[in-house]
Amino acid sequence: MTQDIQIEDLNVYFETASGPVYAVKNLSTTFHAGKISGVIGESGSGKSVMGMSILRLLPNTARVTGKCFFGDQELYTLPLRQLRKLRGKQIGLIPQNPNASLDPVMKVKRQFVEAVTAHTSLSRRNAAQDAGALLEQFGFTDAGAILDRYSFQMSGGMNQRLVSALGLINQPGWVIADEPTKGLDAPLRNQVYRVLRQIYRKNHSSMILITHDLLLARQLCDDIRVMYQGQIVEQGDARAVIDAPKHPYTAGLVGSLPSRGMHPIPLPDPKCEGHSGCPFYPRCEKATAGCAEHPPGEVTLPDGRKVRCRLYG
Amino acid sequence: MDNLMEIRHVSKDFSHGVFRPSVTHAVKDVSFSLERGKTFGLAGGSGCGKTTLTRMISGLLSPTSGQILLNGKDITGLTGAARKHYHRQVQVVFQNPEASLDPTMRIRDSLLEALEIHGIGSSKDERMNRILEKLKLVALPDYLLDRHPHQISGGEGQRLVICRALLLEPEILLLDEPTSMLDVSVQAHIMNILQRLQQELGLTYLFITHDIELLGWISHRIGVMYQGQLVEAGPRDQIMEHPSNAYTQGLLSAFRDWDKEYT
Ligand SMILES: Nc1ncnc2c1ncn2[C@@H]1O[C@H](COP(=O)(O)OP(=O)(O)OP(=O)(O)O)[C@@H](O)[C@H]1O
Ligand SMILES: Nc1ncnc2c1ncn2[C@@H]1O[C@H](COP(=O)(O)OP(=O)(O)OP(=O)(O)O)[C@@H](O)[C@H]1O
Ligand SMILES: [Mg+2]
Ligand SMILES: [Mg+2]
Repeated sequence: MTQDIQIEDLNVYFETASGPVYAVKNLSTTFHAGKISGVIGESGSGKSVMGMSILRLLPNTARVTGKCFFGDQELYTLPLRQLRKLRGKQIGLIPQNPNASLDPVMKVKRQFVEAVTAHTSLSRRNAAQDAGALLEQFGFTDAGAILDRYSFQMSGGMNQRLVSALGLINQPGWVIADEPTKGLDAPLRNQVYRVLRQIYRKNHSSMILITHDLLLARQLCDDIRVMYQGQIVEQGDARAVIDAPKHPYTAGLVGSLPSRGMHPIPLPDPKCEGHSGCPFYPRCEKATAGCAEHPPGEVTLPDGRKVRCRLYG
Repeated sequence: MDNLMEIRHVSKDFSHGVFRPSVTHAVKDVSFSLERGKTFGLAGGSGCGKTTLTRMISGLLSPTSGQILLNGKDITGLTGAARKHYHRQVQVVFQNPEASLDPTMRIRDSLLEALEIHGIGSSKDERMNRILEKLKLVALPDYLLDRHPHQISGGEGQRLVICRALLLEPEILLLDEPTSMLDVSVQAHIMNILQRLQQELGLTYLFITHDIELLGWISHRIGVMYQGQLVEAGPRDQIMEHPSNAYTQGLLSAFRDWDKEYT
């Protein structure tokens, strides 16, 4: 039985030598059980930080306030012992950086076996068999040989698929997948897409998919959140958001797709610096004078979409 | 054609396993050339040998057999100053940015050090100015300079590695999926910068990508690898419109069919 993951008023900043760095600001959203929830948006906008906060995997320089409910448990204050039981088993993670999560001095097989035996009483041999079967689904034709290698002996796309398999090996009810298809050729990307969808259907699992691949998000996700500078600026049905974006940032992002001619959103206008209004104002083509003064609140449109932009009230 | 670099019959074998040794033929008899001021785009499935080839061209890994020539001279014999010059002239943007940045150093110090090693800029101030200028080019804020590499996002790291490569004013850039961690707007920005720099400075690129749209946009010539071999190579239009190899055809249609469903 899976439960929603509900984030309420999340703020994350990092202590650094040159002062605090604000990564996530007043963010509230619900990831619904049984659905695939997409998160897209600007590089550096806080997507990974938000995802990692759920499992409390941020470095100890991070200051987190807010709440994250998983059923009736509040994850940000749950005793670590209980949280560890939940990690990997109830909520699996496919982290963004494969190299940081694969141990360079441990063979792949041992990493899978340890991930499995940490949560079950399965024998090491059975655990390795499970791993091999899952790797085959991820397009490895020689899973046995792969399990016998170290990550540095593998290509970028191979390591990417290994961490995806590692995040799914315990069949968690929830998966947080941070760019699971990056660096994969088109046939493999299609295959990973099919595996994710199959796992989702067969195990009734729920998923948070963080990605820069807008077309993947559109195909795979039920709903999408668009992040910009630590906030969700648009949220709604996946196809509606990509096909008919409401927020000017989302529109600019979709318009930057290579198939549309490689036109980026303009860089911030230096004249607009030092304002206290909408974070997108210095780059927004639709901006009006009021945008520089007050940060916009969240507006709910008739189709259920939520947008943070003064164009909508 | 003005060929700046030639890759001639290059192969690379890796052996692994002590008790049950086995060999991976990562690159098999690959030949092509990089034309001065132009982009050679390289595509191919996961594990087909693209990164291994890049590491050999960059001089970080030596081929099991074959030759890599710059201006007609084999790079394997380079020593001392000539070798150092080569490592400045040819810059690589690796696929995994986090592994290419020194984790123990602040980003500012890493970048300053790279300039110092190659004797670029006459004073620290001048070096700092160059750094700020290139950071702007890749759309990164200058406050990131105070941080360590683990204190930035994936896409920020990728742009930082591009920034460092450009700082050393190379003639040849080997770009291994340089935009795989960027949102599509930042990606479009970087692609435009790369194209502009090529036009202004006559830079030569090897551009590896899985995105067929990017490949077609930036490349003058395109090569496709499959299981270590270069199975097809030719002018952009020929490969994009009339590929003759079955593997190339499959690769292109797997990409385009996905797109078709969208538009
Ligand atoms: N340990 C840290 N210390 C200081 N700042 C950090 C730290 N980790 C991340 N940040 C900053 O927080 C912001 C959000 O980072 P995050 O990794 O969540 O971005 P992202 O949306 O996942 O981007 P990308 O698409 O590039 O991966 C970035 O601006 C980043 O520089
Ligand atoms: N150090 C190494 N030791 C053993 N095998 C290696 C080593 N480096 C790479 N290989 C193998 O060589 C082959 C080619 O790897 P390479 O990284 O060049 O692929 P790639 O084309 O870059 O793939 P991707 O698109 O997934 O990044 C793979 O089978 C890989 O496992
Ligand atoms: Mg990220
Ligand atoms: Mg590679």
